[in-house]
Amino acid sequence: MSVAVVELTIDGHKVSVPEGTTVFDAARLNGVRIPTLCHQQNETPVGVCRVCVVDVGGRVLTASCVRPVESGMVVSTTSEKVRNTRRTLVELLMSDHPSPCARQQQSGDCELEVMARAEGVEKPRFARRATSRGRDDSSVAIAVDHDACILCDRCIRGCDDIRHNDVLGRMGKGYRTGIAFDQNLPMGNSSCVSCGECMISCPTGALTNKFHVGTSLRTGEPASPETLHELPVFAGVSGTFLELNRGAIVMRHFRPGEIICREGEFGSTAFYMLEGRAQVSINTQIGHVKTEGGARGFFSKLSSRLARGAEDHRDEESARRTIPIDGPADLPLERPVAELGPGDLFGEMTCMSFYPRSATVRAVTDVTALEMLRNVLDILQRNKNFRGQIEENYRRRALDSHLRSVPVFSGLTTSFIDHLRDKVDLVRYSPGQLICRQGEPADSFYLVRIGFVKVWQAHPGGEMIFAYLGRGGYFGEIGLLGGGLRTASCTALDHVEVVRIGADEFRLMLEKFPEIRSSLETVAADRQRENRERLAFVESTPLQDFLAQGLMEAQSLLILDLERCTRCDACVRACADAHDGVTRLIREGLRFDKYLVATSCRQCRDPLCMVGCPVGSIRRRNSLEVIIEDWCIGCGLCAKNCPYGNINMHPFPVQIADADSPGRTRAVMKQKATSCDLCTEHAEPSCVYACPHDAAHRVDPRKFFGALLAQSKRD
Amino acid sequence: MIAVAIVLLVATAIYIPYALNSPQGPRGGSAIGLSFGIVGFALMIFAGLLGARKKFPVWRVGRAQTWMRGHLWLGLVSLPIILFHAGFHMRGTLTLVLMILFFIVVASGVFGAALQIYIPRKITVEVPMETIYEQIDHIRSQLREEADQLATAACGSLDGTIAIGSAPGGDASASAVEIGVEVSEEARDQLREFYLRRMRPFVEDPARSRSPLGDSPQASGIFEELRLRLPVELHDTLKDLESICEEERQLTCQARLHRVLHAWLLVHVPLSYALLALAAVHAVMALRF
Amino acid sequence: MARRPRTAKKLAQRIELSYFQRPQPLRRWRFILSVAFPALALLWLAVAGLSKNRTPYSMGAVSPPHALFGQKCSACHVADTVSFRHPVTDQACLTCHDGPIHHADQKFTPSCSSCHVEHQGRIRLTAVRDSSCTQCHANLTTRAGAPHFVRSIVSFARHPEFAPLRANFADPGTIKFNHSAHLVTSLIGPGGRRVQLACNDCHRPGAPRGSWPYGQPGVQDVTFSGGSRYSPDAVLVFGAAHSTTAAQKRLEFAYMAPPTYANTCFSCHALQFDARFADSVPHDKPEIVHAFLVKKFQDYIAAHPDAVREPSAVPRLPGQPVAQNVHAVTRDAWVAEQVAAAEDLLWRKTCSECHTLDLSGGNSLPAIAPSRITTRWLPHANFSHDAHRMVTCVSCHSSVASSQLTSDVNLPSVRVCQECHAARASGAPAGCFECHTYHDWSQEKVYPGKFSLPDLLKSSRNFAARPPVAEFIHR
Repeated sequence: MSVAVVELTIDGHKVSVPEGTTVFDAARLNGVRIPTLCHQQNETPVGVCRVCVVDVGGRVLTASCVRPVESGMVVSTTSEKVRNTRRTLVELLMSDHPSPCARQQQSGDCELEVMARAEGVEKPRFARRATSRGRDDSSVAIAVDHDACILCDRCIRGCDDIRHNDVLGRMGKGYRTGIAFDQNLPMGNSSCVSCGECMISCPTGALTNKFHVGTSLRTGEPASPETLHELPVFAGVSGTFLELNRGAIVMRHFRPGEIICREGEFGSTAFYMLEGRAQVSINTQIGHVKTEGGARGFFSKLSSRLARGAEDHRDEESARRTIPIDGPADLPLERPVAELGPGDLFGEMTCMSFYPRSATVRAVTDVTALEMLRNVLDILQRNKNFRGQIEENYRRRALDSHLRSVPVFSGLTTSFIDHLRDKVDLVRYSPGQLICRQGEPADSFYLVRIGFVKVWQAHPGGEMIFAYLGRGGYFGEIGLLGGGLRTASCTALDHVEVVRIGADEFRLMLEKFPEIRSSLETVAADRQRENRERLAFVESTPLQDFLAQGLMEAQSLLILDLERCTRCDACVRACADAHDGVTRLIREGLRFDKYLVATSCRQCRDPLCMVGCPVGSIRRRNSLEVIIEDWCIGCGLCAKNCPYGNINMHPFPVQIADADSPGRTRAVMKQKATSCDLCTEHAEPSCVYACPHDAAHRVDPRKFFGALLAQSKRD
Repeated sequence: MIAVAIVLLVATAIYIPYALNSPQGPRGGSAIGLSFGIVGFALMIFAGLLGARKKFPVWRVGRAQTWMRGHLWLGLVSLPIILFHAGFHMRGTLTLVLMILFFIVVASGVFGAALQIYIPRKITVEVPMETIYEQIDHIRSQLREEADQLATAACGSLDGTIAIGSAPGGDASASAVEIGVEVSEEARDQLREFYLRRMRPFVEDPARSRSPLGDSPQASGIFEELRLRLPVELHDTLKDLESICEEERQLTCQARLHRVLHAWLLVHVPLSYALLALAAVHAVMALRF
Repeated sequence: MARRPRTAKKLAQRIELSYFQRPQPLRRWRFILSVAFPALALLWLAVAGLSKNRTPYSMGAVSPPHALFGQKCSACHVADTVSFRHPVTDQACLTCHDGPIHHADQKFTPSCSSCHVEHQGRIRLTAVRDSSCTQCHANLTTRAGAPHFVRSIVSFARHPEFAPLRANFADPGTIKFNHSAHLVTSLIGPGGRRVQLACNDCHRPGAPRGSWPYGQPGVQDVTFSGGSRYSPDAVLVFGAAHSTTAAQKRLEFAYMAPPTYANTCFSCHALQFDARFADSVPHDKPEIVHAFLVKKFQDYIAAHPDAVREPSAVPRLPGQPVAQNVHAVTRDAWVAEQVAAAEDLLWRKTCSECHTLDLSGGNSLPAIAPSRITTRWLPHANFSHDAHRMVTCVSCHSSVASSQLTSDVNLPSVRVCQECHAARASGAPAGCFECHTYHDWSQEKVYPGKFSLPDLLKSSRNFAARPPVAEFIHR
């Protein structure tokens, strides 16, 4: 669809921008920088500080951040009037500012003071206000200095619109205006979750970090922002951010032969190599478990051993030749070894989505690498420099093998891949984001690089999920091969990056390589057949319930057999006994068949709870158990994300130093997230152990309900 | 279970020759009678320990289910063993009281076990909207608020007599905007009147109020009639209110069945403690004399 | 579809997480009652204990003789000074009465309470179960080796035959008697009349009842004393109207007195010795008979001095012509002759009819063997004819009608007893204790009384009557 274009003049230059752009954005798009205080790119502009005023020829100056462009507008951003106005505004603001404010002291980048210096405001002419507006040190993480607040509203918008925590608001009027937490409670007593969004948004030192949240990686030396800024990839990353997250990114050195990370371990960090070379490999025995021996006779035993593919050829053996790992290279199946060098980022999926390490990385030479937690990696991924470098890396090194790793495309020639190299897009999706929608025209083919997606169709009862695809999976071919409309939707389940090949390139590929076309068609036909079969089950209610309740995603369910359960609460009491008197299991939920699916962690395959944890404190210990670390800040995001309500926030009374009476402590309630941990220190979960009527079971839902589902399939 | 059957057979095999041959007939005090008594008492103590086991569910001293099965079967087999101990006599005041208590305890236990097979199924079938019994009052207050919210949204303020709190569930606030425009004042008055006069008293105290809403066929009749009288825009609200009434009824049913399922314990457990206390006294006194 | 969507999360969020820690009515009441009921029970026992009422612990009423001690447990349940137990010891029983040992050779002595079981209600304490006896007698061994008696007796139904009836046992009595001859239908009786003898014309229990139809009038009724329990010999007591002890009296009614000549034989069997005299000699020792004869003849010759010249030494039977052999003797010689002739008749014929006389001794008077009539054939069992007085004699003693020999033992077989005394519901009592006693009462020690009335009454407290239910159960 075409958007109307507006033409206007900014500082003498003719520019044309889409309709609806603000003057500020129009200027920014054309390289004209207008100073602002209350405007932040990621927030809705409100136009309260007036520092961005420009002259558009009207009676008064207009705030460019909120004023939309009009055709024929003549904008002046540097006229005398504008400059004087700006200067006076800054001077007025500086008159009440406790210069140098906390931020200026810490990092020297208080936006107001920097602007004041830029505008040449040394000492304001106006008197400071008589009474101080006060400080609020009640929060553990953030210090509030109301005197430095310029009421720019950035924190409020950050808290409300970006983070949806709705803690901050404005209170009072006139000279008594200020920001307030909840009903003007001290910040530490309010419902503030210390996410830090307000702090990051605040241009001045009104909200500053108190360095109380100790997110830190234990090994390695913390990398200072200065060191990091020396690296080209970190250009443009907010220094404040790096300062605030000092412990979350560390420099590590490895000697030759030292293991950097082991396959199968769970971790929460990613590595970015700076110097040296490392070898990435998979060291487990390549083979699948084959069970032999029979159930003939009473004493014959079943034995298991590993068998290689060549020896025991299984029907559905895929033609896969490479092993996809969480790094910039794929490992060939025969000899799963590859090399990593400077500029390579590995462990992304482990860091972003808490999957286990996919391979073992061992230093070959002396290696220097940066190890970082999720919040740092997240910011880096948003940073253009960093992204650019990573993508470049990928296109150069990995695209080739990645494409070829997909068996259907194994016949592609090198020249075609070169042709494709610059034509493909690497697109990132956040968890839950829709990649393509059913019914839309099909315009691309997608190859999953990292992360997981789900392919689904909408149905009256809910979603009918056709497949989960991981790295190396592809989708979108049915639409392209068929009528041109998408037959299913595709959503990112975690942090996903896909390689998108446009429809034109796709068709070109099919023309040039007919064998690819035929294999793709075979795959498409298979998939469609499976989809039809799956759709056929949807009519039966139990399966519908099964899917609608999300039971397919669960790896482990706590189910209570309602025909045996006497509602005696023994399970709940046992859980509470095992966990400091707070239960992690609620005997309420939806029913499936004759079972109650209790509200207790389901160890989902895709743990939606882990998405978004700002301090990376929720992770997996083994393939099932979810651990919430000590530094959980109680923000409640995991509880909100869990679709079944399995995570609960518990207030715990904590003694902290009383600010009003020094030397004494005061009890405050701190929230911590808790969820079922499967009682791993015992052989059996406490709830199952304590049920006197054999009604509580922890089961794998597919196996347990397999009979029921098969039944409904037959019916 | 098989072990218990074997124990019973062995015990009977010991008892019959003993009863026939002993000079004074089977007595509690003879050597065999005493062994039966000791075994029976030990079984009774083990059965009583189930209560203690349940107090410490996390201790790994054996699965609760094993203890429960043991309690049932061993408790059951203690009946014939105690009868063997007594030689089927019922003499003596204290021992008579003990025997009566014992029979009541075992009978109530068997009755309770039967209940525990039958009632959970009944609850499962009859109460699809089951919740936790101890929280029924809490849930009811939430339902009350939800109903109030629905009613307010549909027909405006309920004469300011009820304070509207925030209730989980129900997008009632959205509907206020949708409905307010088309529905006539008269229809809203009717709904308000129905709600205030008939439904609110029921929702306040469903167990005690003798409202016809407490009876499922009558309630559906009432709502059907309402649907005929009120405009179609209000039908969604009516459906929700009807669903709330249904949930209230189910909760009442659940409360009743839950009490049935647990009431027998008020007989079984206290009497069994009394039994153990008296049995200890009897053991001491009998050995003494 | 209703717009009240139910999702797991919504449902879970309705619940307060600490609900199970709050007090709940059902659990609370369970706890309260679990404390209340045992407390009530123990309170009951405490109240009983405080008022010294031992009824809760008693296993049942005690037998009537001990009813006075029913509440005084320590009368029998003796407090052992050291240990915790208060068992019923033999000493407790022996405080008041003796229980002599059964047999010197018995292998072990059971305790009093093992046979005499109290607290069974108002029963007869002496009614001991058969199993108390068969615990030894089922397979009897003694300290001296094998027993003299039958080794194995397990019940009355399998009681061995009575010893006198086993092979080759002969009646030791020396009075020659043929029951069958005396029981013919037309027997020549006194004065030539025909009579039919009945059993009780001769056999009666010891105490006097009525007159003897064939007895000697004017002679005082003879009773017999049964002697001690174990003595088989009767002791003839003349004119004894009352017995001294109850046991004696029981014996007198239980057994038949041995028939005496004076009571049963006199009417038919006269002891005439000479035609000149109508009277009989006294049924007594030979010396007395001899003295009687001498006196008689002396009196006769004094009254009839001419008789000296009558022919002698020839027995003159009445109605026979006189023999002609006449010689003259002195009076004394005549007397001696006559006496010798009379004694000759008596010893050789009249007395020998029934008695066994031994003339071999040097002196002229014979020795007569003691009669040795057995009154009690079964010394180890108690039997009472009186208890069986409704039965005709011949229904049990069926062998009498055909008994011709003196040596016949006409005791009924045990099988006759077993016809009525059997273990079935409508049978007469058949327990061991009905006939046999365990304690050897001949060894009984005399116990002087120890307790005064206040002593006894102090021990028993009268409580309110038990409710009918308890009464019914305890009976």
